[in-house]
Amino acid sequence: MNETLFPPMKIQGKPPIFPIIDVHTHPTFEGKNTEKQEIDEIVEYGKSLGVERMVVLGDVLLYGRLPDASQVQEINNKTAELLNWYPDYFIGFCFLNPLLGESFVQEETERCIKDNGFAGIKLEICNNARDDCMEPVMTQATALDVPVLQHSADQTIIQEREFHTDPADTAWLGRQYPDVTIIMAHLTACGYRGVREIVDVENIWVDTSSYQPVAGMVEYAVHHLGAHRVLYGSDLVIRDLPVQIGRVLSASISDSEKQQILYSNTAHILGINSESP
Amino acid sequence: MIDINVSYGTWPFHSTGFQHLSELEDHLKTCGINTALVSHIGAVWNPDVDGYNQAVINACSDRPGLIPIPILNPAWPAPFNDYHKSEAFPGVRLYPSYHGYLLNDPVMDTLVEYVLERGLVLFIQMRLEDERMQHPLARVEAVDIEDILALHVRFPRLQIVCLNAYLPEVRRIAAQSNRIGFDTAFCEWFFTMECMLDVLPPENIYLGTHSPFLYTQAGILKVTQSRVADPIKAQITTGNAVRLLGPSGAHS
Repeated sequence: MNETLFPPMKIQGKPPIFPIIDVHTHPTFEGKNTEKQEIDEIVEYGKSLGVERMVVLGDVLLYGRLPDASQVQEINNKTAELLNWYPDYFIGFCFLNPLLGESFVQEETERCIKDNGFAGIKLEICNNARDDCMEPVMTQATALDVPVLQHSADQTIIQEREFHTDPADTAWLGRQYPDVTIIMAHLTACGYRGVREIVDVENIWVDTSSYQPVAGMVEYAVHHLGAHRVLYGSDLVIRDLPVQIGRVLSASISDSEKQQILYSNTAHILGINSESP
Repeated sequence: MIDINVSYGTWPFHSTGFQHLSELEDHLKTCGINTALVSHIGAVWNPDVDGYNQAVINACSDRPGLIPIPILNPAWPAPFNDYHKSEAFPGVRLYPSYHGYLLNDPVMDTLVEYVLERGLVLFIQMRLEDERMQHPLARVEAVDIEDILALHVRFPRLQIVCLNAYLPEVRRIAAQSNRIGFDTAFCEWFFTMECMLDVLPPENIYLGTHSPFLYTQAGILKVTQSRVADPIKAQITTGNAVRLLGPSGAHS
């Protein structure tokens, strides 16, 4: 790829001054982008837009909502392969189905995090965050000292709360486990109420990933949570990098706040580079 | 750049951030949008659209970069106000789901006649919000793509541009016809523009940001930071819309 194809990222005519860590990506999704050359393309494009690191959460819906143990392991094995291909670029999170029970949760988190260097836990829509099956997950997060990224979305319209976590459920989880760093995914899917649900739960951060770049949401989150509790995420490949980065760059917040959201907050949580560039 | 999908006015469920049209115009210019096609949000929730159309026409009258696109409601029991008699507005915008009619309803015949007689573009607003984010007491279904295709088959001379279509909808429509246009606002997947160009000829794609509902710059970056060749980007951000505007584009 040449420079004509990858023009320098500019906003309002100026190049961005922010390096970026993307805390929410699925480079392989729906069983696609499994070949190295496809991943090469994603990494190259990310770098061209200033994305220095990506957190890989896995192809979490590859086997539907309720993968079995071997399917969870296969998803995490693919994440490990991506880390192996790009150890200085990708950061892995261990995908779990908490319904598979305590022993599996313990074995899989230790396999991924202790043995393969994953840096967090990813939870999707196997269960609601209030369910009892979360206890071993949070115990392991505490023991291994890693963050938990919980998919979350306002369930008022979606109406799947039996297994789909509402921001109120994520807030509840955060209150039960105040020592665990929790990342509530999908700011815009959580909406204004979602932001308000976690205002007083200081161990919960929100990521900006997914949905359309609805104007005003980033400003709302920064106003009520502080920029230090907002993390940039894209939900790649479900979403497109320029749009999702543009959501933060477009917001009416200070450059310092953008820098926190795009880089240093996630760097701090993951301990990957405390010296922000 | 020319943005074919801009709204103006007050939205009942959240602030759009712009109290006055001048603020929106300044914002668009700052983002590099020199010309925008603008309709009034107020007409979304009020079927009697004329007051809103007149308001946006008046407000745009001394703003050459803002081109008003009147909204027509064929289900309203009154003849269309002929906005295009004295002004060369390039098209009309429809909100079928919000105004409670289907594109295959008989009421559409009069509207199509109005549009064809004047050589206008028919902008069909497929949705205004992600359906999962709507107010629970104000849920509105998207326009059915089968209805769009049926309209296209019934009136093949109609120049239809769909606003806020999702990428799967674009794919389904494009599989049936290569003569329906789309804006870029709600299409998104990794390498969005390449995905659109996989199924559409470049001349059928128009920059649309759906401002001020969405962040304007995010919508622009979708095109400008894509990997497609620069001439194609120019076509999507400007050239296609210039062709669409026709002679009325001259006043922009």
